[in-house]
Amino acid sequence: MTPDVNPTTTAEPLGRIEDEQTDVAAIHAPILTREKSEPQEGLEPAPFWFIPLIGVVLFWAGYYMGHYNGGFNPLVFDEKASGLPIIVSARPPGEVDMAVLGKRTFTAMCAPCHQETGLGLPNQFPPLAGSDWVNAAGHGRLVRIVLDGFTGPVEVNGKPFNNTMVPWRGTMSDEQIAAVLTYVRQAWGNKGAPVGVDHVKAVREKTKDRAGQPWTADLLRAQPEKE
Amino acid sequence: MNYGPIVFIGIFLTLASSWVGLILIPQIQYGGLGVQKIEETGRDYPAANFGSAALGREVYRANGCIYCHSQQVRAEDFGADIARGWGKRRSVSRDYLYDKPVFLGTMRTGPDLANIGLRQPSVEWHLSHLYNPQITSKGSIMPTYAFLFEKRKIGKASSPDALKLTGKLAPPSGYEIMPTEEAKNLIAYLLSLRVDVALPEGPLGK
Amino acid sequence: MKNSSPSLRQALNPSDDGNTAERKALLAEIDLSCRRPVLFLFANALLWLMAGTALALITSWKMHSPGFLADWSWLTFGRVRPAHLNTMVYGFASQAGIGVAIWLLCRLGRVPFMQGGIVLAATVLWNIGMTVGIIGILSGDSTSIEWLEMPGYAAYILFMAYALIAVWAIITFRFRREKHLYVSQWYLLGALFWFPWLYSAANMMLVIDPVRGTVQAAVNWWFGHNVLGLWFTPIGLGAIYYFIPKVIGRPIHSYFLSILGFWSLALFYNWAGMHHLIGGPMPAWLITVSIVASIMMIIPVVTVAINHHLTMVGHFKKLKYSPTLRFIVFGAMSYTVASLQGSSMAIRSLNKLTHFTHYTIAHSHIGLYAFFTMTMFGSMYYIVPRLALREWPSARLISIHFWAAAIGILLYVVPLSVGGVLQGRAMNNPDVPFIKTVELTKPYLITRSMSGIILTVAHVAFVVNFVWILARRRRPYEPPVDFIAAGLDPEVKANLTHEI
Repeated sequence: MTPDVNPTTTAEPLGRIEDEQTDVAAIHAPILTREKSEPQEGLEPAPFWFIPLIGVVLFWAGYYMGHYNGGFNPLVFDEKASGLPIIVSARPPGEVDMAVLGKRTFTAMCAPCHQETGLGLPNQFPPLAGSDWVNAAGHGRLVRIVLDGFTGPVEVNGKPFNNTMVPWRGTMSDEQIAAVLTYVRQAWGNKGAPVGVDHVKAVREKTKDRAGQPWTADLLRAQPEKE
Repeated sequence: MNYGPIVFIGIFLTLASSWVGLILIPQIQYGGLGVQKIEETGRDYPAANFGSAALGREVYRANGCIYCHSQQVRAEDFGADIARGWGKRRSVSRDYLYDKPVFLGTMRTGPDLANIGLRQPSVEWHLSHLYNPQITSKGSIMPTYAFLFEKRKIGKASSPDALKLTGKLAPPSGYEIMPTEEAKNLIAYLLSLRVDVALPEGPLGK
Repeated sequence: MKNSSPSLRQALNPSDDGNTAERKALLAEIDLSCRRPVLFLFANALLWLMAGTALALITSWKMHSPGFLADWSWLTFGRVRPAHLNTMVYGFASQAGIGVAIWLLCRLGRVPFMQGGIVLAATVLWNIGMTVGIIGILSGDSTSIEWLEMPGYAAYILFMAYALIAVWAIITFRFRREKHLYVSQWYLLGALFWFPWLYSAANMMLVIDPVRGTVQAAVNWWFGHNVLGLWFTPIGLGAIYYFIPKVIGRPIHSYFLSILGFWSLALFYNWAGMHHLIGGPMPAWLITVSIVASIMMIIPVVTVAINHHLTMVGHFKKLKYSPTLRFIVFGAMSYTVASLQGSSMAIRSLNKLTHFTHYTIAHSHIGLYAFFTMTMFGSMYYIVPRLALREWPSARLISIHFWAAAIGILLYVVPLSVGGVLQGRAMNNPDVPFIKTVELTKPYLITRSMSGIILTVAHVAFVVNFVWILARRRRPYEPPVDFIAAGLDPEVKANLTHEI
């Protein structure tokens, strides 16, 4: 990169390092003349605000540890508790906002197949928006489908589908089924009547003997609509 | 601080302290946690995966599903997991008793899967979604897993297991897309994921 | 230095004996003895850096274009992502760190490098283990245990390789000629001792004979967090504690702060691992203990920041010409930022928002890239000329490297952090469908890929310079390369006496 201007090197070309060990110090020294001395420890005092900062942190640590230790009990997962949780009974209906429950249940359990738009997937999952089945006068068929599922060929709005819907009897409560069916019947321009919790309870009881057997289109058409 | 042994003793004791505090003590406290008998069914909870689900667990591990999906439901007052319908209660230690390894996960590029067996029990949905997530979930960034499926010539009639694909995704005529054993096992594993049993330390609705 | 008696100062700095010629000869001998093992480690590290960068680009691209390379099981996201992490952590960062640690321990112990065969065997074994491990992950043998994805058969090889390094470190320490232990040596000895304990315990309890249930999660994150806190952080801090005072020619501000910083880090850092599990199925007390430790980390982090800053004060203009100092100071400041951010993320209310989001990924890259990798780059810029006995051929490439890396990492972490916060807020709102939380992150995933391209440019610039400096013929004395000198007249340049 530069002509050799440093007086400590020779002008002769340098060989490979293994051949000329004695050259090493001569080569290295110019590099090292520019190195500062090895790092050293200074003895300046720390800034004055540093000690109070440590004090504040330690105080906070003790407070937090004292308050949120859950009794050091390995079965306590809630840091605000000190012992095992008290079993609470199931919430009575009426405390839950059904509109919110319906939409959230739909998004979590139904939208993966029927889609957020309610349009379903062609040839696979039937639409709910504008569906003749959803907007039928009674609730009986819809509750049955949600409870025990559905299988086989069916026509929805004139389009054929042949698939299986899973049952939700064991997973959804009566409140959830009522809420989600009410949501489905009133979303995307649907103008169906809401479905009540007692309706669902009654159908669940009535059909408990055939639990686990999915419905087919023919079987459902044989059912009275309003029950 | 010139004395090597003192430095070494300090270095040793500091890591030893957390090894004792974060690993040894929890292991002593609840490393021996056992199953809980469920009164209604007489069964033990949790049950270890076996058969197809156990093999599916290995597919989940080999393909790194944990890098997008967590499997832990947070408490009702800590995030929106339960409100989203991802679980009926928060996850507790006992739920992972037999898991090797534990798939807690640390990212939610995709939804939490702790209760996917409850929330989405349709085998067909999972097969479509696994083959090409865009089919069921438009806008998803989950990759396609076509390598877990195979294209086969249709025999006398199309197989009941074959995917129902339409449009651009449909295979050429005379062929069908079938899930491999790995795909079927993976879905059996996913369908086994449910945390809906009430426990003394984890009551439902909390 | 005011307020200090000469005898105390002498006791702390026994090497300051003024005998420059002998000191220089010894340093020359030490540098020469380190040449082969350290350069071999650096070369391997840079190979893995390039592999890891390629894997990073692929991984990042897949997140916004999920169809990209999706048809091959070897390249599915869930395999390339851990391959990227392990390549960078164990292939690049660990080997660069070991190389820097070896050189520092030899220089600070004033003892030439001995037992070269041990380190050579270790390096070869390490890279065999890496290759076996990464192929294992890509072929489907990943353990799916974060930070420990390499299958057991590769972990054994890595551990054996490491054991040889540990043996070398013990021998070098035992035969050191300088009995006084400088602060960097405490950190390096800590790192070299802690890592094998962490690695063997974690592999035993998670891979070979797994413990039951969520105790696995406790072991997993005790390990994962301590790889950052007790392996990379001490190596990085050890390097910063050496290079800042070395390059500017002033002592470290306060010995007392050095001691406090080291021991508080050693005590608190390793208790903080459970903060990766806040909200998870772990006993409340375990999480609380780690949150407390995470906040206590403010003490060592502020201590070290004060120490480094007050050493640098008045010398910031040296950043204009010294490549080493630029990378090192960038790294030191990033350490403070990453650590304070990390402490804040351990607070439950913030964690509720950021856990499971891209914010965490951005944070991890501030720590591992902006802090550790930049520190390693700075260290290598200092060390390599002294081993190769040549100067860096191109100041322009160094400049490209620095600016591309700095801009790249900023472009990475700032947008992705914003995206992560938005993602967290949407996720905590149960009325926002999940797919929307994914859609809103897409622009930030794209900026991340763009930043990845810039970082690739930085790495290519460095690798080119590295190969070039080793390939050059040795010449008569050439002055050190620095950013200002590069633009100067050759006559003037030859007479520069500042060091870099």
